[in-house]
Amino acid sequence: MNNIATQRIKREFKEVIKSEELAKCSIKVDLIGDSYTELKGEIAGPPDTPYEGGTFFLEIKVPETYPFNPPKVRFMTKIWHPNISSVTGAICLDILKDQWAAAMTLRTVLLSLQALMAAAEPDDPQDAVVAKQYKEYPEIFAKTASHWTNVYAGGPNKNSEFDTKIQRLIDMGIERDQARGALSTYNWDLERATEQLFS
Amino acid sequence: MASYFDELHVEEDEMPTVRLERLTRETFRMLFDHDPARYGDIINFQNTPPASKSEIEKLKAPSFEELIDEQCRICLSQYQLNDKALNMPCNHIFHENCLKTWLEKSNFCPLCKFELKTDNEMYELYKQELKNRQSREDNIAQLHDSMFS
Repeated sequence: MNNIATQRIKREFKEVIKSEELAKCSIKVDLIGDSYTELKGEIAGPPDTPYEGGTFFLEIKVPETYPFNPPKVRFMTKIWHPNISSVTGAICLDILKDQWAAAMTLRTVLLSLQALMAAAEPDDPQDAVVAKQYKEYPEIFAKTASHWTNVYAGGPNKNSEFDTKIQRLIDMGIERDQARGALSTYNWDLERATEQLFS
Repeated sequence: MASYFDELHVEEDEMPTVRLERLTRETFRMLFDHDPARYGDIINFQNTPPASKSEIEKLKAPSFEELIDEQCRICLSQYQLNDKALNMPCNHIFHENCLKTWLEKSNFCPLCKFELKTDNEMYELYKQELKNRQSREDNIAQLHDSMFS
């Protein structure tokens, strides 16, 4: 791997990533093995959001051309958010694309992602279904996001109404994650979700 | 006018700058539809174009004192004796090699986004149009304020 990229990440680890400030903001970066090209990020769900209490893991791939090109970042933990794909974890965030600048660091990226979790941008969506729900049914969106946080990120809010509906679909032979996805997509309308799954 | 905005799917509550940028881009896209040859590589500005070579050559080296105990914010290493560095017009300093590599693909300061001129005519036109629209909006806002406050 290109020396500049490796040196840069090493310096980031020494100077930026280990700082106490990061612990306060509850973000973290860890190495995977000895390679500096693949890293694991961790973000605590911001307070007063449906993600509060959850821990979200990120896959970070550092290109050889880093820091002249942005790192490739993806949510490994499933999340219900307008700017993050509920299926692949792909992220729509300007600094990971055309607004990247060479002076930014992994710390900048994680803090920006935490900010994005606290304030979605539904007009520039990655997941159109989630964005539509966010705009049209904000209460259902909040409940759904909180439910996903509980199930996938260890959040505290169990939703027994949602669990019952998911169980109904499982009893019909649907796989659990698929059932949750369909119900989330159709605003927890069991009939419509069923229709879609069996059509 | 309403239909014009409807057609461009502009939301009422979009931030003024976001709206302006979108409108400008849409206008350019329309120009492109109208005359693809002339407005050839209508830029989707996925990445900003590189800085113009002549602009890069104009950049000056900072004095030795300015580098003492400072760090290049691109490679994050401290300046060593004999390191070559350059000063952006916004007064941000970077290693010469680091900055030049960056300006080969982008035209702005990695720290504050101050923009250098590019050789891309479309992009410069787009920027000018954005500026014009911004100043028109500002004038209207000022006029509005002077009339109603």
